[in-house]
Amino acid sequence: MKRLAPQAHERIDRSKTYQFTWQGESYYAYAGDTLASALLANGIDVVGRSFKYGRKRGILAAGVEEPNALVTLESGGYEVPNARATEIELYDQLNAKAASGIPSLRFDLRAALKPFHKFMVAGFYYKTFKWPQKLWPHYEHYLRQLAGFSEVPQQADAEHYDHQYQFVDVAVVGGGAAGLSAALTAAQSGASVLVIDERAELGGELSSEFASSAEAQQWFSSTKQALEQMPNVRILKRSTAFALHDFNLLLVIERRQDHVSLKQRNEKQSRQRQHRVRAKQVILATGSHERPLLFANNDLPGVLMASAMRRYLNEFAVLCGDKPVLAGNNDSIYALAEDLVKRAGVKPVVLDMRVGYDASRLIAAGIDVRQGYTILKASGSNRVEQVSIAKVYYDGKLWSASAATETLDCDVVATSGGFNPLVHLDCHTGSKPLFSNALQAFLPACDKPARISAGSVNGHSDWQACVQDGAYAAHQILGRLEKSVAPTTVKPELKLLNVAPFFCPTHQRNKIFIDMQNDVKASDIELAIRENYRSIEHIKRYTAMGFGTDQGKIGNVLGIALAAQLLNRSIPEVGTTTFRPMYTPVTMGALAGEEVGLLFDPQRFTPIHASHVARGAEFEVVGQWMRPWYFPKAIEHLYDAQSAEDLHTAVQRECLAVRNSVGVMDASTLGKIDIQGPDVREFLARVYTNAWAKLAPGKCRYGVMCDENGMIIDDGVTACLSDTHFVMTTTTGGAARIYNHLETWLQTEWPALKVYLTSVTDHWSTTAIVGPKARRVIEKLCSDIDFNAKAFPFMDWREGTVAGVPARVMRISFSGELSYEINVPANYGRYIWEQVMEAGKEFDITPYGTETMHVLRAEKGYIIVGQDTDGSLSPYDANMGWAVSLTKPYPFLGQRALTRSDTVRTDRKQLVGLLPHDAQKVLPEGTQLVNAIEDKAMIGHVTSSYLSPILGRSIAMAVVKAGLSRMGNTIYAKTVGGETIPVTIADSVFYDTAKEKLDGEV
Amino acid sequence: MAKFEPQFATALEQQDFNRLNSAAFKVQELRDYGYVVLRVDANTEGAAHALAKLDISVPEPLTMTGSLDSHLVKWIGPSEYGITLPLAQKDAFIKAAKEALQGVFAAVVDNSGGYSFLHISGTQRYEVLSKLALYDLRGQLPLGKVVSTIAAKSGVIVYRVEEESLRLMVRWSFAQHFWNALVKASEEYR
Amino acid sequence: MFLIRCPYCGEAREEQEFSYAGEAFIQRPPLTCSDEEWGDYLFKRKNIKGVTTEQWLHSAGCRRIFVMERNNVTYEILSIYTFESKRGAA
Repeated sequence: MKRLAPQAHERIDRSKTYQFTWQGESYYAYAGDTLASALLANGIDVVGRSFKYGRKRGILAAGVEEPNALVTLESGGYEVPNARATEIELYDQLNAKAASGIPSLRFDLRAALKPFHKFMVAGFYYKTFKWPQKLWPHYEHYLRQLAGFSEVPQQADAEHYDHQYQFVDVAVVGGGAAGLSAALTAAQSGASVLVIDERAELGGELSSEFASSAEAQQWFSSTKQALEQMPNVRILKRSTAFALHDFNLLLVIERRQDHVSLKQRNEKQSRQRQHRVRAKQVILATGSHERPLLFANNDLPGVLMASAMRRYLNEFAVLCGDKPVLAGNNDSIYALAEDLVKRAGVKPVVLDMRVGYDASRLIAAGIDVRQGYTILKASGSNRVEQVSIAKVYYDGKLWSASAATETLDCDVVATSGGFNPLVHLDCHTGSKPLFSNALQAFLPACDKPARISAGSVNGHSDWQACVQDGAYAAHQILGRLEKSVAPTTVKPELKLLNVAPFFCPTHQRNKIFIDMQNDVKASDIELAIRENYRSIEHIKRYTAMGFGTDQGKIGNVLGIALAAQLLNRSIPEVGTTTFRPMYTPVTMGALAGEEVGLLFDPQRFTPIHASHVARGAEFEVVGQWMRPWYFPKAIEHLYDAQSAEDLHTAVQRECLAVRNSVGVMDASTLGKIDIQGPDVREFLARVYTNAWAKLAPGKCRYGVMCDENGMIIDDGVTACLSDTHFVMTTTTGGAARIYNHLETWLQTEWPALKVYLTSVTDHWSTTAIVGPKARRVIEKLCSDIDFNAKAFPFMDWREGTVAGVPARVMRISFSGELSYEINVPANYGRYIWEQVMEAGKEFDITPYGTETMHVLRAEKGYIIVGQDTDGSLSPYDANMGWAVSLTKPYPFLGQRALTRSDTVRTDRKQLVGLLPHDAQKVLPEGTQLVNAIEDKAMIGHVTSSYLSPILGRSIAMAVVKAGLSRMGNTIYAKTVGGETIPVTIADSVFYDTAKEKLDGEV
Repeated sequence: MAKFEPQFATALEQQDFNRLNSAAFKVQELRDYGYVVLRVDANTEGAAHALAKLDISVPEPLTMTGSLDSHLVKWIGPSEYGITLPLAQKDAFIKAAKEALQGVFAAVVDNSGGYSFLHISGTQRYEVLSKLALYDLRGQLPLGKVVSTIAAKSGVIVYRVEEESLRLMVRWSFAQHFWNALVKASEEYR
Repeated sequence: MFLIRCPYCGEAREEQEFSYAGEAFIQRPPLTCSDEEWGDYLFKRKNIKGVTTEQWLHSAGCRRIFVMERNNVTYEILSIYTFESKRGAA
C-alpha cells in the first residue's frame, strides 16, 4: 500500500497537502484525493464493520456504488451521516469517522457474538423478534443501534439548500466519453445542452481505464475544451441525476460546497442545489459499474473491484497492494494487469475463469496467467493474506469447480465479474431492462419517448465506440428536435469483453457475500428459495438484498443470477427488482430546498397587517392568512414588571367592548368575487340555495352554497351593485376553492350563461366597525352617506367617501350588533383602519381578532363553514331551511339531493345549541355526546364551544341526531378526560333573540 | 368633519429595497400603475366597436398590445385581458370603458389594489428567478410576451416590455412572502 | 410530473400550474331521476385503469378547463382539447 511516483494523468495535486482526521487520528493526503484514496494511501484497511455480523470491511469500490465505506463527516450543524468515503472529496481539516463499529472498529460486539451467527440468517429478525408484539419497540431500539449506520445528527443543519429550474433542449447524463461526444454533437447543432457528471472532473473512464491511451487523452482534452467554450452548453460537475420522471423531468443534486473546507464555505451559497431539469431530450450516458466475482470471505478488506484498483492507481497514484491477484471472467482484467506492470512495476497473478484469451504478451512479460481458474476462498485476519484457487469447467450451462488446487499468498485481490450498465434512470418511469446474453448484463430498454442511451450503458467497452455511440445518439435525438445535424453517424459495433456466465462456488460453512452492506449471503438467497419465495421482489424483501444506501448497485445482479440458477430459470425470467428514485441518497435539505421555515408555506398578509403588529396582536393562520387572533393588552404590575393578557382575558375584554361600546376587526381576508353579466341573477340562483331574482341594487343578501350532494360548502353575503353586477364574498379558507367551483360549473355545464367572474379578494381591504356605537364612529369619517338606521337599514350597502377615500360600506353583521364594513382598495386599507381607530378613541374602540369574532357569532348561533359543518350537513340539518327556495325556475346545486331518502331522514345530525348545566363548564370542542350517562353510542359532537362574557356562562353548538326536535332534553358530553357533563339542548341563538341590538344606539 | 389626507400605500413599501439593489439583482416596486381587468369576447355583439373606441386591440394568447404610457393590454386568458395603465388615468379609463361597453356582455373590474407591481433587473435576474419560477423566463419570455405562472408558491403574472428587465405582478397578500423568497434566492449575489 | 400543453395558452406548462377537475363528460341526470340514479351521478366514477378522460383546470394560468385523455398506467397524454371544440364537432 503506497503512493506511487507521479502518474501521467493523476488528479491529485501534490503541491497541496491536506490534514484530515480519521477515527480521531490525524493523517495527511493531497488535494484531489477522495477520503477513500486518502485512507488507502495511509494504509488503512478496515473502514467499517458489517451490519449483522460485525465483520471487518474495507473499501470495495471507487465511486457511488461503494457499499462498505460509510462514514460520518464532521459534527454539530455540519454533521453528515452515511456519506461514502469513495465520493467525498478531501478538504483540509476534514474530520471523519466510520459510521459503524460498536464500540469501535477494532473491537466489535457483534463479531464477538460469532457462535450465534449461524442463527442470524435471512428472516432472522422476523422470526426472532416477532413475539411478544408489544416488546417490538424495545427490540427496535437496540436493533437500530446495531445497524451499521451513522447516528442521526442531533443539531439543526447549519447550511442551506436551494432549487433551480432548468429548461434545456438536451440533457446529457454522464460526462465520460459517450456523454462528452453526445454533448458536443448536440451543441454543435445549436441546441442548448446540459451536461451532468457526478465527479469533480469530467472524463469518466477516460481518466482511468484509458489513461494510458494518448489518443484518448487528446480527444478528451480537445472535446472538453470545446464544450467549455460553447455558450449553449452548461456543465454541472459534482452533480448526480438521481431521478428521471415522466416527460423528462430530470432531478439533479449538485454538491456545490461539499468539497470546500468548513472554514472556506460561503454562507451565502447553498451547500447543495437540486436542479429540476425539463429536457426536451435526454441522453443517458450513465456508464456501468463492475460487479465482483463470488468466493468465500469475499468481503475481506483488500478484496476490491478491479476497476477500483485501477482508478486508485491511475487517478490517485495509490497502489492497493504489492502482491495482487487479479481474478475475472472477462477480458478487462488483462488491461489492469498491464497497467500494474507499466505504472507500478508490480506483477500480478492473473486468474481467468475462461480459457482461450490470447495473453501471450503478458506471459512474455513474466506475468503468471492462469486460465480456467478462479478463487474459492480468501483468508486473512485484518485483510486478505491468501486465496485458495481451483480449476473451473463450463459445460455450456453450468460451471463446476475442482477442489482447491493451490493457495496463493497475496495482499490484494481485485476481481471483475462483468459489468452492470446503469439502467436506473431509464427504469424510473417503469421501463424494464433487457438481459443480453452476449454481455451478461441488463441493458436499458429506452422505450419511453424523448430519450436515448449511449456508451457503456449500452454495453460498449472501448472509448472509441463510446465516442461514436454518443455522437450517434445525439444525431438521433437532434432529428427529433428538428435541429440541423452533422453528417449521419453510424451506430458502432459492440466490442465484447466476453463476460462468462455467472458462477458461485459452493460455500458450505463459509460466507459468500452478495450484498455487503446488508450482510446478505449466497446462503440467504438459497434459504429464501428453500422457504418457497419465488419472485425476486419477495426474495429481495426476505433477505434485505439491496436495501442499503447503495441499493444493491454491486450485488443485486449477482443475487438475481444466483436465484435464477437455484430456481432453474433464466435470468430474464427472474427479472430485476424495481428501480425507483433516488439513484443515490439525497439529503433532506436538498429535497426541501429553500422551502423551509418562513418559506415553507406562503403566509398571506392583509394591507392592515403592520398596524396589527404595532398593536401587539397575536396571530393565527387561517388558510395561509395571518389573522389577528387577539390583541393582548399589557398588564402593569408592581415594581415595573409587565406582562400581557392571556387569550382568555383578552377575549373577555374584547367581547364586552363590542357588545357594550364598539370594536373593530380586519375582515380583509374574506374571498371576494366580482360577478358581471346579464345572467348574474340566474347564476346566483343556481349556485346558492336561496332566491336572487328580486334583490335590488343597494341591497345585500346572505347565501348558503351547497354541493350537488346537498351539503353546505360555503356561505357569505353578496351585494347587488346593479342588475348585471354583484359582488360575492366567500369564507376566508374557501375563497380559491369556491372560485374554482364556480368557474367549473360555468365552463362545463352552463357555458350558455353570460357571466364573468373576477377574483377581487386582494383588491379590497375591509375594516368592520362593530357595536352599539359603530354609527357614531363612522359618522365622524363619512358625510356623504346617511347612516340613519331607516335610511341605511341592515343588509344594505352604500357607496360613499370614508376619510377621503371612495368606499363601499356594507351594513352586515356577524355578531348581531350594528356593524359597518368599510371596503376600500388595498392601498388605503391601513390608512382607513388607523382613521377608524382615531375616530373611535372617544368610545374606547377595541380592535379584536378571530377568537372574539368566533365567540360573538356563536352567541348568535351563526355557523362557521368548516367548523360547525363538515361536508355532511345540509341547510336543513343546519336549521337554515329559511335560506332554501325550492320554487326557483332553475334548480340550484344540491336541490335534487335534498329530497334523497338519506337526506330527508328525520334522525340526521342537526345543528343545535347546548347549555352545560354547570354554567362555568366549557365543553372541549369535538367532545362526543350520548343520550344517557351510561351510553356508549354517540349521537353527535360539539362543534363550537366558548365562555360567553355577555351571558356570563358557557355555550356550545353541536350536531345531535334529531336534535332540532329535542329542545330542552338533557344529554351528556363525554370528554376525552373521562368526564361526563350534563347539557341541555337549546336553540343555537343564545343572545338577543329579539334582534334588538341590530340598529345599535339610536 | 375633519380634513382627511388619504395615504396611499403599496404592498411592499415597508420593505428595505436597498437589500435588493445591486447590479446583479435589483427589484423596484412601482407605485404609479393601475390594473383593470377587462372581460369580453372580441366576437361578441358590439365588442369590436367598443374596443375600437377605447383604442384597444385584442392581443393574441400570451402576448400584449398597447403600451405602458397609455394602456398595456395583456392576454390573461380567453376573453380576459389585464390592462396596466398609469394610475392617474385609471378612473377615467374605467369610466370610458364602462360607457363604451354599455349593453355589451363584458366586465370591467378595477383590480389595482390586488397586486404589487415589481420591476426586476440585474445581470443575475434569471439565475435568481429560476430558483423560484416554474416557467422558463430566460428562454420563453421574449419582448411582448406575458405569462401567468407560479413562483415561490405564489401566482404571478410576468411580462416583458424592455430588453433588460422583467415586470412581475404578485397578489398583494402574497407579496411579502414573495419578497422574502426573492431576498433568500438572491443572497449569493449580494 | 406532467408537462401539459394548455390548449388555450398554446404551450406546455408544468403540472403544478394545473388542477385536476374530475372525470369529464359525466351526464347530469334530470331532477326527476330516481335516488339511485342521482346517487350514481354523485358518487360512481369509472375508475379506469388505462385511458381516462379527465377535466383539468389551468388554475395558475388562463383559468380555463379543458379535456385531457391520458393513460394512467403509462402516464402518456393522448390528447388535449377544449369543450368548445367538442361541442363544435358534435
